[in-house]
Amino acid sequence: MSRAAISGTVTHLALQLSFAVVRVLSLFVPRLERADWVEEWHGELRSRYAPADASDPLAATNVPPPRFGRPFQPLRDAGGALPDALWHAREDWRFEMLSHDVRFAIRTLLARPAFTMTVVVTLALGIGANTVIYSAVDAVVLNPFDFEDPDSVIGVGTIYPKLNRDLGFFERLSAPEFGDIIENVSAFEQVAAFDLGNRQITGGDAPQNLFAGFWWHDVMPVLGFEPVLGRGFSSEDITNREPVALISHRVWQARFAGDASVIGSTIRIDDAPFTLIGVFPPAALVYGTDLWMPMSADPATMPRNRRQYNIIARLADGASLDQANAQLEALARRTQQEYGAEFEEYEDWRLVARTWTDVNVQTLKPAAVILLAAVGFVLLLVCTNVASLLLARSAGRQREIALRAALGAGRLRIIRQLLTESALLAALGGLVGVILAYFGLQALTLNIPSNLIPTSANLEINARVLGYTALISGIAGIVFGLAPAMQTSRLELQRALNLESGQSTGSRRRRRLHGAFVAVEVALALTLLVGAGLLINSFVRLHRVQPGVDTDNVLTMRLTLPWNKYSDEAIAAFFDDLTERVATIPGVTAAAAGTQYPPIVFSRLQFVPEGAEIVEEGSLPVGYLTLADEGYFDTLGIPVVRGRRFTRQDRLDGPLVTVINQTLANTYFPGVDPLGKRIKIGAPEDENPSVEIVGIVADTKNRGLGSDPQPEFFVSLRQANGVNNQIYLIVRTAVPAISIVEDVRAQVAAIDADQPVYGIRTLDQAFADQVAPQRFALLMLSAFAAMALALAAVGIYGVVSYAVSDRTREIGVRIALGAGRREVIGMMVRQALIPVAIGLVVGLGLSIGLGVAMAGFLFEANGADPLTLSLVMVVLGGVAFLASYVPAKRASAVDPVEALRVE
Amino acid sequence: MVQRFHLTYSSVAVLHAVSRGYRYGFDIMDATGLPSGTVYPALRRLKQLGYVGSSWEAREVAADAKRPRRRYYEISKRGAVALADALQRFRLLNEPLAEACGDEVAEPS
Repeated sequence: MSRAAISGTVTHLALQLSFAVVRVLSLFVPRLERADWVEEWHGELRSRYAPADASDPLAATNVPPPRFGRPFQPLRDAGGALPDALWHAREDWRFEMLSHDVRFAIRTLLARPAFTMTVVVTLALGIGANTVIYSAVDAVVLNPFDFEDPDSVIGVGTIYPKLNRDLGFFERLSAPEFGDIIENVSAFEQVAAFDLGNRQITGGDAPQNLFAGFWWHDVMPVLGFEPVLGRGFSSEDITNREPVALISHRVWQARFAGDASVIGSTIRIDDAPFTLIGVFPPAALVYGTDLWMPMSADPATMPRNRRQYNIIARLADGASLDQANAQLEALARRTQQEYGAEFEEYEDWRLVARTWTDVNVQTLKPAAVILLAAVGFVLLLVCTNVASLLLARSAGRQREIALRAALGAGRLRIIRQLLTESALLAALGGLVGVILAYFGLQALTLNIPSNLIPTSANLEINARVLGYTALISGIAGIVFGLAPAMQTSRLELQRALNLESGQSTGSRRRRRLHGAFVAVEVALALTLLVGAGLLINSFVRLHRVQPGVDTDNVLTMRLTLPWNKYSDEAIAAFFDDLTERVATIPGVTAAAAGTQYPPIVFSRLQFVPEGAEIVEEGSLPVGYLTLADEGYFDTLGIPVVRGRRFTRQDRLDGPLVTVINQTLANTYFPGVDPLGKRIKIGAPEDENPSVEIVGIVADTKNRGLGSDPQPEFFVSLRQANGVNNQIYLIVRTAVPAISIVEDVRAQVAAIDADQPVYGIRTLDQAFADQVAPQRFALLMLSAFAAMALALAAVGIYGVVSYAVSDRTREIGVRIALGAGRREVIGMMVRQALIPVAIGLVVGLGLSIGLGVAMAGFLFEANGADPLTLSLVMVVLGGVAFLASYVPAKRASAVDPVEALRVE
Repeated sequence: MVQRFHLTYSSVAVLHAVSRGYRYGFDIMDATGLPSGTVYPALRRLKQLGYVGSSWEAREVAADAKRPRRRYYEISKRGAVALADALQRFRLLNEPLAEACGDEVAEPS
């Protein structure tokens, strides 16, 4: 084919296409002008690009050769029909027309107040629930930090394969490692390291314990803040470790009554004078620290493996997180080469940067996704219900619609009118939903586990939340409005106009759509119920787990003894004194001291078992180290399996001893009797004395109910020589544990009036808090599942009721012809249950998908748990049966004479 | 006259072309060099303002010419007034436009 011929063919095709374009666009043109409009455009295009009938040899000579290179010109010209068509359509879209639609919609909705109320309330519940969950997700996961440009605020964490340590960010780096990062990572504009601890503000009314941050480099520029009052740390403050301090806004308000004159004054921290130099803003809370002091260390003299620092950094302008990670990776490899021989844990270790938001909320993201999806399902169910209601109502409007069509309204025009109504309903639902959400959020704030939320997070309805609500309301309006509008506007004009009032056309199609709605509702409800069922199942299992300690009536509280008042043996002596005094309180049966207790044992250390081979290839022995006094095991109810517990004779001047748990014994002394063996605490390169194993205690769930017991070893508080000054007092009582708190406080004050206690809670609470996220998810998902079940029941009930009233005549005829009433009920129920069955099958598939997605949340529960699945299907099937049986029963009450007289 | 403020450059160009005897859509496009998406809405608008009228060509004429019948546009009296006024107002635009069409500015009637 010649080039001209090809071009001609293309032009021909383009012309045909442009005719089609014009036809489609003509839908925008008002009906009366449409034919003319199409003729004009088609005519112009045809006379330009196919000026004559090609079969006419005379005219053919007049065809101008197609212009090369512009074969698509017809399409371009036809494109101009779009603004032209829109110009015509704008009559329809004028504000007055829209406002007419809106006014008409308002009248229509007001004419059926019960219907409107039902729809608005249903929508409001769905939208409100979504708003609440979204604002929680926004505050906790998406935007928990109000820092300047929060995505540039970075945390640095580590992975130590050799120590079996996954990615963690908490107290993972040492001073020399921090020094390396400052020098080698140019992607960071600002880097600060910090350590955490507890300090007491003394003087004034009552001694108060504050969670404190010790900053090596000022954190203000990292977070992008200025102090609310006063100044931040200068570099001299840091290097000289000046006695200066900043306090949080909330402590300034609570303890200093927001008095600006306290800046520059002297406060006593752990009984030493500090100058208060500033107040940091509420949004700058880092890990909830209320008191900031400067700190620095010399990287050259500090050991590489004393890893107690957290790192927070700000990306330099134009630098990316990837660049930072690449530089950190390079640094980790260099460090491995240089120090790998000395420090074995550097083998394949990694330095990892993440946004501060990720560092803090990464673990919550899957939960947030599941909750958002679950509540989204609820909204979808709501939409389906509303769509079903609209569809049922549309039957009564058939004549109205037909009349409008007869008077010249196009289908688009009618759909628009109907969609205006649903948009209005959605807007009202959204409005009421936000009001409901406001109260829902208050309730949520009381129930959300406080340890889940970064302290700076604000649960509130802000602009982002409102935007989300508007978005989902709009989507909901289209979702529930479109199908009924399409169905209603599709009508056979003639038949509709000929109908008597009260009758309708399209029954069969509408019934099919109703059936589809029921199937969707059942599928969604099943999925949510299965989700809730899986969580309940998992939670019950979690509760059946034996914690390994006796949790009844145990009170715990923490004391941090200031180093400048108590050191070395004085710390053990203080607790000796305290436990003796506390034991005299009426109702107390035992008292003990220890640095940590299940379910949150956190202090982890390397050790070297002597006389036993290391069984785990490629990893170093690591265990949790607890300092405990001689009453610790009995007070917590941890049985001694072999050997002995600590005694008062295990003093610093005697032989050093340790007690290990069963898991440590099994892991590192397999097939050997560990009693009498020795372990060296710390890394192989450390110069620590070794200690003798004198006892083995039973395992506890020391890392939480959901985890296996971890290796743990215990050292006597008396032999620890005061290396740790943050110690829990553990009291077992015969009376309700919380009732003795004041008596215990009095005993502490009797020893040292300036010594605050904090972190007061019972052991029961500690275990409950530990599963709080699961309980919260369970609570929320159960609520959603209950809503879903109710919505599905209401939906099925409505559809069957409608079917009964729609088919009154038919039922009357059947009864007149001898059908039994039970057969009629059976028929109605059977027909209602077909879509239910379809929904159950589809829902089953969805549920299995959900189970897989939720597997990470479930404790020893299978994602496709057959018991849960079958139980839920029985419940939902039963509810569906009831919801269809009750209205179907009404069908049997149809009086055939009345029914036949309807016409 | 208030309405002159409604006339954009392209509307004036289209109106001008119609007054010069370019009577149907694609012809006007060729005369003004404006795309169809500009010419047609301008024509609709001018028609709405009463500056142009339109009429369909007789079917026989079109059949004889072996082409689809055309919709012809014609400038009205009010249109002529508006055009003259517009060309006065947009003097800067008027000159090249007038030159291009080889036209002298019409006097207001």
